[in-house]
Amino acid sequence: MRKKAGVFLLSTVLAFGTLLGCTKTEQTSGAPAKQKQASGDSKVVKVGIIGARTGPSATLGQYLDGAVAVFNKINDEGGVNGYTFDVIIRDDEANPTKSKELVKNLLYKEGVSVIIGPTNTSNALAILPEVFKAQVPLVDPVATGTKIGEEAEKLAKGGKNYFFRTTTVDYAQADAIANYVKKKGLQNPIILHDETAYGKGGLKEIQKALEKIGVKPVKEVGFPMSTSDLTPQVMEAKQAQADGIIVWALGHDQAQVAKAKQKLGLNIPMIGSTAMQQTNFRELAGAAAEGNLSIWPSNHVRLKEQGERPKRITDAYEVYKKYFPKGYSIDDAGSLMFTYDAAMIVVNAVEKAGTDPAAIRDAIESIPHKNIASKDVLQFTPDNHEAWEGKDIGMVTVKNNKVYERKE
Amino acid sequence: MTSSFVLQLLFAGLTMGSVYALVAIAYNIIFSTTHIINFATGEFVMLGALITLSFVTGMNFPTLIAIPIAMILVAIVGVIVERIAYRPVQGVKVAGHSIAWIITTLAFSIILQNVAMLIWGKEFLPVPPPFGSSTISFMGAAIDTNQLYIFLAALILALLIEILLHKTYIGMMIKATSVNRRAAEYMGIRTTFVIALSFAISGGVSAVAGILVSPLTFASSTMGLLIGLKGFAVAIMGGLGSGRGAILAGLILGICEVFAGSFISPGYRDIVAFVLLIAVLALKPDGLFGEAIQEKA
Repeated sequence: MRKKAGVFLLSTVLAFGTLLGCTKTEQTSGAPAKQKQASGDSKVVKVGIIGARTGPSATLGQYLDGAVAVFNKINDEGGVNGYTFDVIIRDDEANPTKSKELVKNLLYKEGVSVIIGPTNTSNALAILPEVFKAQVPLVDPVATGTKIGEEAEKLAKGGKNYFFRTTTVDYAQADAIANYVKKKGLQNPIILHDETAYGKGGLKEIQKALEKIGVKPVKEVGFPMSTSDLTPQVMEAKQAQADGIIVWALGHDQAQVAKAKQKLGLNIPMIGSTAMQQTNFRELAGAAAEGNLSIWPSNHVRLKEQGERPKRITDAYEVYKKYFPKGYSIDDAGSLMFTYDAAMIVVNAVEKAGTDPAAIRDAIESIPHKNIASKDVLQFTPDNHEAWEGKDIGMVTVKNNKVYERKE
Repeated sequence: MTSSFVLQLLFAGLTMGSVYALVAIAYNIIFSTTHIINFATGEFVMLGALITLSFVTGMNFPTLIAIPIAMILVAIVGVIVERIAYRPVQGVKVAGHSIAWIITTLAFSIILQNVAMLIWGKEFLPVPPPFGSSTISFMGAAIDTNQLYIFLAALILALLIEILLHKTYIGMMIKATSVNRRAAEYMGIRTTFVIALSFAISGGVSAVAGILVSPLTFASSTMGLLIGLKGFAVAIMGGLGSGRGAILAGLILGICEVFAGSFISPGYRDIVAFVLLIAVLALKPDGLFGEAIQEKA
């Protein structure tokens, strides 16, 4: 009898433990989004923020804190033009189905006027039809997939486009890499990419961008994410006599490529997608990280060998630091700046247009946004809802285990 | 394809293969005494890697001291798994079969993974190679000495375990428990102790597999799943309970997957293990060294 009771107790504990392990708590309001209650005449604008706050892409979700910080700051200062912000944060765990449900909830139950997010391209594709149907603007500061912009244009059918992006879209990143390839006169670059949607998407963009400059990659080599040893793949670069390696993969796989390249004594430039700037790349690659190249908007958060970071960046970082003192360091705050920008764009639009979603959309499109972190001024047009083009993006390089802007 | 390229692939395959063999041996040891599959084995591998990493980079222990500490700690986790996930449910019938251990060991695997996520996070962490690393050139292939050490260490450990199981008193106790547990008890063997011991040894071996593989794959709280599954496939392919089978099947799998990844398509790399598994089971249902299992049936 005692044994049976023990078994029962045990299975209950285990079942409970399993449940605990699997379920993730849903955040309704992750950060102290304060509202100014005192002044009776202040009007409240509801803003939805959605992204992967937990789960496999949780790192991306934490970048959204940059936007939360902006709204907290504006509310602390008493709002803009009589408007304060009620921020509603939703965690989609990088799951597109969940993302769609949560966005419906934000649109129809909470009645938000604008949404910032999501963090993953497939989630953005899942929710686009919903925001277009509800005619509520979506400002995406994290997901880089080219396809989101293309889908949005299809949904707009030549009419009003409700999708805006403040981060660097994949095709602009690829163009920037192609610009560098052209400038350095590389003729036979090899493309290494992981076999995920990210890596394969990147491969397509790079192929297109290289075609524009008339360079044909000597070979394309795919590998499954988290492969234990990429030496054979890098060896293919050597055998094909490639004069440069372009890598579209996550930071830890790029580290494997860098290590294999060092091992094989292969002395050609390695240009990584922006994931190279994840801190884990430098940690994992160690000495092999030195001299590797990647791309990032010019005059942004990256260290400069001479001169300082622009004041707009350091100011934005101060705002973030005030509300999230244990968050990212400024060196790793690149993506935070894009979420900061997204929130400032919304603030600017609300200041001019009030709470009506359609009016906010028009304002986002027409205002020259001057008080953002990433650029001196950001101006969308009816035809272009992307913040970045290839020409705005420069090169960065790893030097002494830090990422520096590279002037060339 | 040039010979140096093939050689390069061969080395990559042998290195991973020897690690798969170790994981398969960890499955086998527990299978020998209990006739169950411990689905938390992959998590033991992960714990071995992360605990060693914490001691070496977090507390500046010399690697040679950190490794035995990690082995002992994971062995203790093994004993805990035995005490909580195996002993209370042995013989408990679910739908007429003694299969409660499937869910308890699986649950343990999820719990261990989540605890590891809380402690170490989800990021991939760099692990310094335990015996240092330099590159030697061999017939045109660049070979990391670390890979060589992994291969040798895994093979030596696999042989030691074989000797332990076949030539020592502990091995005889394990074999006796495996063949007929009640008879072994009548002969004065404390079979509950032997079973706990088998979980401990399995934990220690898995920990070493994790320590060896993590400088190549990096360590992360989620690394246990795939390596655990592949080790499981290798254990079945080699014939459950067979050490020789595990080593041979491990090396075959390691080599097949790098070649499939390079010559067919990288997407197929992780599928190879399971295609091979199905092929072996269809042609030789008891595994490559099936006779070992017949003795125990």
